[in-house]
Amino acid sequence: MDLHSRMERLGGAIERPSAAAVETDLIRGRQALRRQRFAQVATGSAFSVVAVATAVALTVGGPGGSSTPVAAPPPATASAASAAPEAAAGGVKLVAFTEEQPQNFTIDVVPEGFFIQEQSEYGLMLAPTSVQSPGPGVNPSTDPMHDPNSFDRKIGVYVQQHGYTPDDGKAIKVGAKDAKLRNAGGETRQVVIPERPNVDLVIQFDGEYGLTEQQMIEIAAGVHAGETALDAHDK
Amino acid sequence: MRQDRGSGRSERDEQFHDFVADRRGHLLHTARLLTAGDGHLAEDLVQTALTKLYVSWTAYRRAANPDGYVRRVLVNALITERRRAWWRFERPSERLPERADAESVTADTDPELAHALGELPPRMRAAVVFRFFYELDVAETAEALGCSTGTVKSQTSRALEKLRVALERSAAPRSTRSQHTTMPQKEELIR
Repeated sequence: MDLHSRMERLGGAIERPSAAAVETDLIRGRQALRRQRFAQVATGSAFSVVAVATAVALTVGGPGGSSTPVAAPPPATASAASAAPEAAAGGVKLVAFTEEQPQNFTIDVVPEGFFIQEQSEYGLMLAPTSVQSPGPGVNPSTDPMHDPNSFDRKIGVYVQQHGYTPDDGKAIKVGAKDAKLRNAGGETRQVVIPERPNVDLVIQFDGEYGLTEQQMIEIAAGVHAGETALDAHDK
Repeated sequence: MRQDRGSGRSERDEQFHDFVADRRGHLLHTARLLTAGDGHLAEDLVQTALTKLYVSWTAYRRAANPDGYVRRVLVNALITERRRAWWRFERPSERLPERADAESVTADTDPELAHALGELPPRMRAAVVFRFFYELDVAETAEALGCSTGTVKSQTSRALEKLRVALERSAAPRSTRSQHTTMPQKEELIR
């Protein structure tokens, strides 16, 4: 039997799905769309609160509560210096990561309100802290946001062999390193940093946080993979 | 006759329903090849791809090449699933994934071919499936894989060579195989 016929056979029979299977797919899709819209609304609300708070802070500072706008105070740190204009443009603020560093990676900056939801020897999952206290109408057992293995609407950091990395994307500089910023489908973006000839560090942004490209690059520049993680994939 | 599906359905729901009823079987067929005959993983891929499609339904409907759009979604699901697989490998999960329509047709159908395909990296496997099995041209395959046409050519060529070697190895008489004195290079098994 020739290879084509063998593949045809391996693929199995093409059968019409049951009505129940079609219905289940439809329900799954509708749930995903609802989650996405909820996330967009929640993100928009958070940005509105930040914008209002900022406006209030800038307008009540004058004598006698004058509405004269005043200049924002200068940023206190180098990372804040670059984050401040980005926050104004994209609505997301980057902050220094001050929690305990993970085992095989270090992180310098994260979007405000993100934490390490999961870590393994070879990767990290950064998620919004909102997943720690699910609101009404959210089922943590079915919402991928609450699944520490799911990349859905999170920032994933992992190491992989170069052979698995597509060769597309836009050439960028991450710190002093040559890297790529690529579209991984939908709203998912990846910053791919060649750490060794055969090993890439990938920072994946899967969601609609409003991060700008510059912010993604800034986050990526602050991610450092340890030798253990790199060695494991350097084959 | 069009089945009455009850009220409360949007146009997107109706279109998606028809799409799934018509295309799910074909998607599963493709997914089984992309997963080297793993029926359960194939079902996962199809579920993931269909969910993404529903969410991006407007984009799919407007796509200049809707079939290409679907293939791209399926390949992305394959790559994402591989990442999830390593997370699962590192962090065993207590949850079993949904197996709504897991098929009985698996690698048992042709274990040698399934093993040979399984030795290829996902994108290389996808390249050979689209180019060799579905006979897509280089540009269509590149679109599905999100890579350059040059990469498609080289990946397909390497994939077919690796498949040939693997299938010849599995078809070789036992006495010939016993002449091997060293294990295959690990890189060969991975790449």
